[in-house]
Amino acid sequence: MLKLRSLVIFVAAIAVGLVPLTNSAAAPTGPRRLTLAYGAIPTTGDPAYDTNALAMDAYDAVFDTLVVFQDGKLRPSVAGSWKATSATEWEFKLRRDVKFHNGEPLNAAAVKFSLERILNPANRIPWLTQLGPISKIDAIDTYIVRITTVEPVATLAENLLIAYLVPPRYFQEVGRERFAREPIGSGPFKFKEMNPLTHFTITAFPESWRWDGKKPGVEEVTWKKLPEDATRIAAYRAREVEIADSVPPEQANRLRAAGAKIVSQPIAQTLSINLRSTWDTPLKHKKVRQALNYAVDKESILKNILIGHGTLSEGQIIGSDAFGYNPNLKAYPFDLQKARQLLSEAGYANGFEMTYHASQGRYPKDKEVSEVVAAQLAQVGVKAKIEYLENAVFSQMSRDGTIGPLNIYGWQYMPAMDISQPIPFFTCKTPRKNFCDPNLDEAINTMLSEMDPVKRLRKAQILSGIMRDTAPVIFLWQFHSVYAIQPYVKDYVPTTARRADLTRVSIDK
Amino acid sequence: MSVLVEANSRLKTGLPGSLAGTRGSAHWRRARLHWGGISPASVLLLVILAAVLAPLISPYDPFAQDIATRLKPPAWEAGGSWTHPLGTDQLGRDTYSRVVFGARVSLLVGFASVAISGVMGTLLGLLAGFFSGRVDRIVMRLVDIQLAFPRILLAVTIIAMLGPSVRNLVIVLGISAWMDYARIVRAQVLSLREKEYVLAARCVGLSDSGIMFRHILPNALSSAIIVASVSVASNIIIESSLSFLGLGVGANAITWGTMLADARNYIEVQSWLATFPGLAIMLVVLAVNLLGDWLRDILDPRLRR
Amino acid sequence: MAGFLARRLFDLLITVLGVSTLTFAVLRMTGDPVDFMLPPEATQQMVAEMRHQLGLDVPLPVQYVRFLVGAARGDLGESFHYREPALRLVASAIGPTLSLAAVSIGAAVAIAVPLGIVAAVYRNTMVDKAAMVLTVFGQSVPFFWLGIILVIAFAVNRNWLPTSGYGSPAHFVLPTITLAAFALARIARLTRSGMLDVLGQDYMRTARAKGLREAVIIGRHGLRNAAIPILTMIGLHFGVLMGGAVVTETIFAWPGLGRLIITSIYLRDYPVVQAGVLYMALVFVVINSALDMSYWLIDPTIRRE
Repeated sequence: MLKLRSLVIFVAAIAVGLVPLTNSAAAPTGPRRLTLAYGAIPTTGDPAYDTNALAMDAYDAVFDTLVVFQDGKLRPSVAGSWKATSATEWEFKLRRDVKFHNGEPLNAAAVKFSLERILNPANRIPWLTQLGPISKIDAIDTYIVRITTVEPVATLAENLLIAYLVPPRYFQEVGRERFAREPIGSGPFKFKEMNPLTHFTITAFPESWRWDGKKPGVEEVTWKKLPEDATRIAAYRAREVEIADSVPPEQANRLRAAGAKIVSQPIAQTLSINLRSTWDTPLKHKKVRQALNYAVDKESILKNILIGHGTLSEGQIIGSDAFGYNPNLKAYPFDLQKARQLLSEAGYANGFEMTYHASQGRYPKDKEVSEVVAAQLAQVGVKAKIEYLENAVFSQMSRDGTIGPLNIYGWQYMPAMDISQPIPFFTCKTPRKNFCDPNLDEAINTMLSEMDPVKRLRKAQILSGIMRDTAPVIFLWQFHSVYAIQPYVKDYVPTTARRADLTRVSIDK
Repeated sequence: MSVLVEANSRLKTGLPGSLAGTRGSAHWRRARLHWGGISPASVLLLVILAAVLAPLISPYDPFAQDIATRLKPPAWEAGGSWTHPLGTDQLGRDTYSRVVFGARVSLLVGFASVAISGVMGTLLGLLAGFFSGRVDRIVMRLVDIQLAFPRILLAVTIIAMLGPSVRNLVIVLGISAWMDYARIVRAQVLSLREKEYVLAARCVGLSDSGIMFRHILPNALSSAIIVASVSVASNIIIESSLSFLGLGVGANAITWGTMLADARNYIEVQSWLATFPGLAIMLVVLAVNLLGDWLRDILDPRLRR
Repeated sequence: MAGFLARRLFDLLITVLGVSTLTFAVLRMTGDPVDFMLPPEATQQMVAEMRHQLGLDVPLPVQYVRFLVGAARGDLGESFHYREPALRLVASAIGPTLSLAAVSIGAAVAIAVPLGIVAAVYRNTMVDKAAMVLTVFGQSVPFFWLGIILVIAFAVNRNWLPTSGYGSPAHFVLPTITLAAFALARIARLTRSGMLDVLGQDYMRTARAKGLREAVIIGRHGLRNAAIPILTMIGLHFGVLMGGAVVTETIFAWPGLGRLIITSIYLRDYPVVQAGVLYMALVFVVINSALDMSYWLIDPTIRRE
């Protein structure tokens, strides 16, 4: 009946589980050990399968990509330079000094292998759509890769930000399952060990090109999985970890007063309340949607609920760190009178009732924000009936378009750092049936099909302006990821993509 | 059916194991009888009264937000005032009003779910004990299966599916706890079945259901009641645990459990947010437990003989 | 004896099968994991494709049969979330849960039984009253509140113990206290009432008349006869702890089965939930059977059904 092998594995796994894993104990082996307490860690050693933003930190340290996003723009990484040689063809010229941790060279063949792996539907890699419509990949020289797309894709290089590169020979030797448990990359750190339920550990690999001749400031880095807020902060306060991410806003000031370095880093996600015009509700009217934007006192919520750990959205669903941001736009001011005026102009002087689908724990403070927003909307007669959806149900209903006319939502524009990532969800043809306005649609399509970056930026900014006016959402704010960092950790600088360059970090104990 | 399960059902009522004799320490029990039940009963009654009269005794709407007065401490601490005697929470809602209103749902969940399990379990236990044979085996098998399924997991699964709400939680807690009642009632039925008055009723020509409901049920009920009293307490605590996990009554309802869950990041500096609902839970559970003890004492069949 | 074992094995199979079917049905009704597994930008076609590859687009009965066939071969599928064999994940989580449950029960018994005996022997004195008040409080506190406070008091404010995690004996202390409090209360009260029943028995008077030392009397005769209900309660609590330690595992980031199953339910990671619940059912039935055996060993006069 039971396969003997499974039985043996089963018993062995229990045995291993019963023996406390020495790495889980908070006993530093040396002074240059960095431990981070995160809400989520990589679920697998294979970087293609985990799309959680919090896992990228670890993957970035172990693996390389063709390009990286640093200091506000796209920069060369493994690809020294790239250009579009035609509307549907791109050439990437690679560095020649990159080697995987096992000595294999990172050349065009490796890039081809890594990308094709992602594009192969049989592998069920969730990043498949992120890469865009790629028709083929050719290694036209040892260190030159040509990528051909099905149709013109302006953001091809951005799309490759999450295409981590893996060693083809090793991968084919050990197979997917073992690669996931013993991965090999080319980054400044190499994988040491992991338990998907507790931790992910890597050690410095000074021979990697990314150290650029520097000596590693930390020898070992461990991410501990502590999803419960209270537990994570307790671990930080007891000095069991050097860094804690996602510090609840109300705790941040206390920690700062106790000597912690608090970094409140804006990340590539904004919170908004979708005003879905595709339902037959008052939200079909632009004035109603604008009225709702006037009715919410965003600054008050930012100050009191998020304690300042958020950046007001200036009428856009992207932050100032994204391509397409229009610096000339400003947020809708809080103006109850204007809100009421617009509502009565639209014929809803007495307000109306509407279902509001909220989430709990999906976004920071989503529950509190929903409660306050509903109370504020009630002041202009709009009675939002809050229904809390469980996360899986929320995702499902968002995707198939059945979610309510009002719903809270976090629009993410990472990894592309570009308005073109979230904006397709506001077109008329999106299966989400989120929003439909012919004017907005046209602006979106014009922007998406523009290949020239200068012209595209112009069109994107115009689009942002039209979007603010059309008000398909109540614009709220850009999230911050709040980190608590022990004072003896130097140069841990998280970015808007929630990652930090670990080659710069050092510990000064 | 498992011997263990048998013994366990006797356990719940505190009835002695099959070995202990009928003599023994009845004296000390009788002494406690009369005054033992008064204090917990009156506390419970007070709480129930408060819950029922909640709108009358709360100065504020428990949902009313006032961000300007958020996180005010209780009146006797620095910074507090008697306008909010027990302080306010992170959205400026009055803690005292929320505790009082929270009693409603917390008590409702506790009692209603017990009512459901009680009715369901008693009925099944009656059927199993009375009809024996196939019916009995099926019911007992269901008991085993339900027992083997961890209750919290069942709750989590069903609530994840249906969405957190008071109704769903009551249903889930109700249908996941019928087993104890079934077993106890069944055991009682088995022992009562052959008694003279039942046989006499049969002779007179009473139908099966007549016998079941008029003669056996009242006697089996006392055991069920004892189980129920203990269960109210544990259900209240389970509700608070589930709310802590985000899978209890959902965020629209106020219960002591959700208040505790919301307070978890404020426990150190704004401890009142957690202390008052926590104390409320403790008080009610304490009262119910003590009441259950007292009930067990007076309903102990050994003393009635 | 062999017949007893065979019957138990059969019971086990039926129960486990029943639990597994229940889980399967309930889970599949709760919606799709695919929406989680793909980023929002994934097309409907990709979604359909992945659903197909995971075997989620065939009718439920077919899915169930496939699951059973796989289970018979020892293959419980691959976790959707972790992309690892579900069985391996569950197996690695079993160790921490088992050890915590065992240590908690052990600690609870080690304290509760002597406490109960002392309370019974010195009944109605201050010692007895104090013990009983303590235990009732232990039963009434929402234990996750207790857990958080313990962490703040002993791990954060004083670095005596680790705040969370699993890896050394020190890691066991706080979670054990949190879990044991409840079981301790029940077991102590049970021991006390069991001992009280037994202390007044005739055979105890005989033993005293024989001139045996009081301690021996209590130990050998008293405890032996009170052992059955105590054992039952232990078995019950073990089962409860396996499933109900979820909240404790969450607070202390204990990599156990309860937390794994709950998060897998949130993530609709069917294979892991299936494997986990199957395992828990197995453990429950095994423990039940083991206790049945010990019950039978302690007292051969127990009639088995």
